[in-house]
Amino acid sequence: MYRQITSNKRKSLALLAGFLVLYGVLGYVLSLWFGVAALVIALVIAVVMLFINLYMADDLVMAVAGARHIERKEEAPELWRMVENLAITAGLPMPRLYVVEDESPNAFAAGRSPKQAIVAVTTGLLERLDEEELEGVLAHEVSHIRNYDVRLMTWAAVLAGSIALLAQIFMRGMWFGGGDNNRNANPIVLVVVIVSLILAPIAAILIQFAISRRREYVADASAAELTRYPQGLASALEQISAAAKPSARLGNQAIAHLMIMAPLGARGHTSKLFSTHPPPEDRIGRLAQMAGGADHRHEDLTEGRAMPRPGEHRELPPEEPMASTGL
Amino acid sequence: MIWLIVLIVVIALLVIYAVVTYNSLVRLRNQSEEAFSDIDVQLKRRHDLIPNLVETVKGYAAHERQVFENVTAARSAATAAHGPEAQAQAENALTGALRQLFAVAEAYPDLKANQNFLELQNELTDTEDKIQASRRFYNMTVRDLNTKIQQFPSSVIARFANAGEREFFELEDPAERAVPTVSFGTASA
Repeated sequence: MYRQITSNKRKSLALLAGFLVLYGVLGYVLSLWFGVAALVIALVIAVVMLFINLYMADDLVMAVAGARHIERKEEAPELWRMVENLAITAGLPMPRLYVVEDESPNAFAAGRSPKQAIVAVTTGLLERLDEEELEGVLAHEVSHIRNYDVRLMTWAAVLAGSIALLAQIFMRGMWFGGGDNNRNANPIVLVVVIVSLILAPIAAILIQFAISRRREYVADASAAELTRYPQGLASALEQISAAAKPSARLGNQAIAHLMIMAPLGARGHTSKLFSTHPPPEDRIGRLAQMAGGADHRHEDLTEGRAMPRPGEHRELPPEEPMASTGL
Repeated sequence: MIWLIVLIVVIALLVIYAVVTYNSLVRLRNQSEEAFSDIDVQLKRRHDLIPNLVETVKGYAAHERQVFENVTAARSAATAAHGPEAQAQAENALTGALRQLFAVAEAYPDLKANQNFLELQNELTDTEDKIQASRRFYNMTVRDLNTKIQQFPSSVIARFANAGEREFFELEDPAERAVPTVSFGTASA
């Protein structure tokens, strides 16, 4: 499990590096044609977009999703308690909680750092999942926060976005014969510039989505580490993918990468390569593998507890709690 | 000349590695200390709930003196205990005594319907969940710290820095910290 987490981390780092290389290459190619000004413009655009995203995204997301803030424990004691305990397990401060009025079961995390983190769930999710499944989903979101995924994905989205924007600007600039340097340029450079302007945005989006899928695997694995019960999340994913329906609210492409599962409205008819999330079957398969060894839940029921939780059935009578560890 | 440069680069890399490792050891040590005091906070909350709980049960089952005495004694032992192992033992004893108390409560339907009792019971369950949660975080941190101290080459730095391994905080169940031993590195992407 831990090995999977590290290997995933390494892969997302590699992807991020790929991004920067792509950005550099595009900037270089553009500077061939338009001069150094192009590089400066590229940089300014990236910085401005990053700033907007990091400092305003939380409010934007909440506004887009129409989320209701849960301010006190009494408003949703079960949900609150679960998130609180998961946050303690992950060593994080309690994130802000939101509930989105939406039939489609989904959840997402936002916020640029663990201190400003947000966890949001839909009412559809709360209705459909049982306690252990919900815990799995929340653990997945808490893991996104702990792994700084929100920040990473904001970076990725901004870089991809600014590459697309740059490409558009310079495409237009070329048609209108912009720049003074193109008098003595040769046709090969022209072709290279045009091709890279077309390909760069596509490559950027592919990388962004690849990073996003990678982070989903990491979050699944760390959720299993937090709850010690991969089956909970696995069965939640099954339920969510079975019950998913197009949602106007959550189907917004801008926040798709934050969801526990790609909302249908955003996914449309895309292939795996163009999806922010790995196919649910694959994620469920990996979780099942994690669960493969032992079911650690039995011990958790009696461990350190004076009494069973309401609604829980103790596997064995309290007189012999040790017997429950015999796997 | 070239050898001199190589030598300098190698030494520089070694120094950087030593500094980074040393710092991460310090960070992990502080983190685990903080995590341990988080467990203490939850344990204290648990201990604070018990006198009230005992009083409530006493109101209905005053003659079960032995049980109350056991709980009270276990509680004060738990409050006095220090260090992961001693505390864990004392907490286990307390859990055992509390189980007796709740077993007694089973025989009194009026008590079981008492609002105050129900609330205390809920609080206690919540606190026990939080103890488990903070214990897990502590154990994960300790695991990372101990791994770093044991593994080569960070073990060398750890010896120079005089970094000591820490004890896990375990209740009842040694299997808890055992890591599921499956590897997924090769799962198809």
